[in-house]
Amino acid sequence: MDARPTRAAVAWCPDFPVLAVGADLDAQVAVFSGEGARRVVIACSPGARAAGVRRGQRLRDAQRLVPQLAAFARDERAEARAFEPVVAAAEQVAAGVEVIRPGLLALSAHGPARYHGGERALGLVLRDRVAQLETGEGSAIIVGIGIADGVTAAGIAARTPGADEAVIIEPGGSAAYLAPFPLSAIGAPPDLIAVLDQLGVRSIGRFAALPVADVAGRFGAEGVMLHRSARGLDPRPPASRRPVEDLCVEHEFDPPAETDEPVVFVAKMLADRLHAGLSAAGLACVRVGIEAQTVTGRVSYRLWRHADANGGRLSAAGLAQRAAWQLDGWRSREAHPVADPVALLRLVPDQLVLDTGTQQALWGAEVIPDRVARAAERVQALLGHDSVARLRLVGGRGPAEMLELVPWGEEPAAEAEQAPWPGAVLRPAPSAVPPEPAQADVLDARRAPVAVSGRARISATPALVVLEGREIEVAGYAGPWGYERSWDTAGRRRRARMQCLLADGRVLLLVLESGTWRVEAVHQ
Amino acid sequence: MVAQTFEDPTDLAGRRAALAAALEKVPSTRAGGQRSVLGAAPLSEIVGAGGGAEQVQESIPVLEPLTGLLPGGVRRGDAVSVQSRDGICDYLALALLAGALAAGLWCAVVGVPELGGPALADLVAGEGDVDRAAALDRLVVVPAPGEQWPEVVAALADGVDLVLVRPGIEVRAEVGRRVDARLRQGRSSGTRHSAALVVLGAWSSARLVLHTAATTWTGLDGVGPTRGCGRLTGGVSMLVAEGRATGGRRHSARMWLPAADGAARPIDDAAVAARGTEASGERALRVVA
Repeated sequence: MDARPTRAAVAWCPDFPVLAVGADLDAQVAVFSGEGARRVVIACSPGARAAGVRRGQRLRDAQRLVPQLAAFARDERAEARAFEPVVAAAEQVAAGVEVIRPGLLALSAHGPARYHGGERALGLVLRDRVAQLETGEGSAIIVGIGIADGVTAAGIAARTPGADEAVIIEPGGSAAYLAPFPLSAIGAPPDLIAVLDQLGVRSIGRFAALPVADVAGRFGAEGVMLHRSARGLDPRPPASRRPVEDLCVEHEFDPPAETDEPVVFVAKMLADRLHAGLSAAGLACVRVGIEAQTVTGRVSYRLWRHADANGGRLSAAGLAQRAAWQLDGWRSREAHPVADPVALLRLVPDQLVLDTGTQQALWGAEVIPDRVARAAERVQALLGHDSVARLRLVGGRGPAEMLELVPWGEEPAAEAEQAPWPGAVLRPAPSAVPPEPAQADVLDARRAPVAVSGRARISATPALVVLEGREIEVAGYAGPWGYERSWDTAGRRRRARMQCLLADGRVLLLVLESGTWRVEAVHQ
Repeated sequence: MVAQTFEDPTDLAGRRAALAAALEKVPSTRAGGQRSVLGAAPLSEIVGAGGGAEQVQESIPVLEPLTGLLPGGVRRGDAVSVQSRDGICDYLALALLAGALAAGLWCAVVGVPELGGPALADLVAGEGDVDRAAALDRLVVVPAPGEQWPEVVAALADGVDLVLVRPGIEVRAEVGRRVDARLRQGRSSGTRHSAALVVLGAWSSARLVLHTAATTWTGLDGVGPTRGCGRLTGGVSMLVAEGRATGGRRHSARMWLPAADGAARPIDDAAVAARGTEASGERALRVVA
């Protein structure tokens, strides 16, 4: 028989990314992540939601629904910073606050509820503390509070719309409470939802009713975790061991670090050691505590969930990022930002579980050897974070659109689209794609400029190409092919492409746009 | 077995000389039955190999069709100059990268922002059982190193196996020597990692100078009513290797670079001839650079 999970309280600040970018919640606002055509709404204001804007929507779809929508890029650093006062307020109510992500925190309700005189009272205290706070821009922070068996149910209860006080699910009632919600509420991955949907399993209750052995057989460890969530149990087996002292990793700064950069750098190094130590012990941790201590003895300790957005283990870079957020928030909270250098940094694994193995295949199965990582990081230290990148093939029509530069150490924003791209430039692909296409003149035999009609008909046979003042004869050509960049918000512009074989042995891919030919790519 | 006693163990030069002499006596065959040229290879390479240090591949493999031109691949610690038109990235430079990537090695590209990534992926994928999406996973790019390119190259040479660089400006002799010294340092210390350098443009100390003498493109040569109706379907490149590494001789090789699928393929003259007589009017057009 599974033990019932401990009582947990979850505080949830709705639309927190919107608050964090400093936008007015009463206006129609959306916050997006991603770039270009893949910008996706990740949060929106109530006004925008009323007009049909939803999370996960493409930004351009949202803009079609609400033309006056104000869109902001996500600022995770600002989110962490803005959430810091909320965490501090919660810490005054109870010890052991866990930040799940900026905007969402959890704490064990058992002890604090006794102290404050019941769960209802705990909820009220928590709400009142947060309600006194304001963001930097002066808007009030709204908070929803849920108390239930386990973080999952409490998290959903906290999202109950229109609740004035804490939503309390009685002990033992979590499974029944969860039953009517859709599977996405407990964070089931889309592919699993799709499979279960085909099987007619659409609510958490129906999923929970499946025999656990069948779920394990069909969906593996991940399915079992979700099944436990669905039954109102904590998704992970209870911690089998308390954090052992020797799995902590720490670094003493000598001399103490006056700026954040060396601390963040050391955090990355410590994270690597922590991962190595954990994997040597066959363990994984649910949370990581980051502890920074200054020379005057002040301590910042914060627990971070040890999982990224995809449920995978936090990378060393990800952990270093959390450390940067934490220091940032800590410093901004100080009334007197006196010079108080950091003397010690420690990473403490919290809530250890047996490592059942996770997929680590975001970049295929490619493991980066240490020497390559060190070399790349050294260049990053020399030229800056964005200066070193890896190339990733993405879908696109033009040769310049087929590649994406991902800064070293970061994960690509989204899965590459392997869909066919009608109208794409075919193989063989060009050997060079200049970042800034050079202008060229294309002339016919009578030295008149060659134009292309709206139906992609060429006005005359090209005979000469003038490149940087040099005239080169044309020995053959193909095209032109017309195409449109309909997603281009600057207006629908008609363009045409042409392959041109020059007498000096090069093949140019020329693009005509607004009456100007440019060299988009070179085969040589 | 060869033995040698040293009178003064601190005399480094003496030890080196003695070791070289001792190695001369060792039967000059190495693993795989290949005859090794002891006289030509730096001493420390042989010492490193015998010392049981972490063994890395001696040279960097090239794509299958290029093995005729560069039988030993590209030697670590060497600088290779690829003289492309205007110093712009060409298929030959991409092919050298592709050879290393396809062999599972790591590469870096410094100061070549126009690098044709899709073309490189096609070359790697054409070599073997490599997924096109995964082909570029082992490539580190630094598009804009600015004036710090020598430092960037030196840092990357510690980590990756092949570095492609375009200095962008004329390389001052002392800067070139510094980079060369850094490359050789990796090679001669034996235990240290060592990379090969491919320079787009001139490099005074390059042991190997490569260029594409001519490319015969197919598909763009419609005449009469078929004018402009084709599309680029590939090119046959004539590659030339010169320099000290070839013993001063001029070696050349013809191959499909790029073939219709973007890969590098050995030439099949019959196929080219057949293409030339196709009724569609596709005629191999020879253009000499």
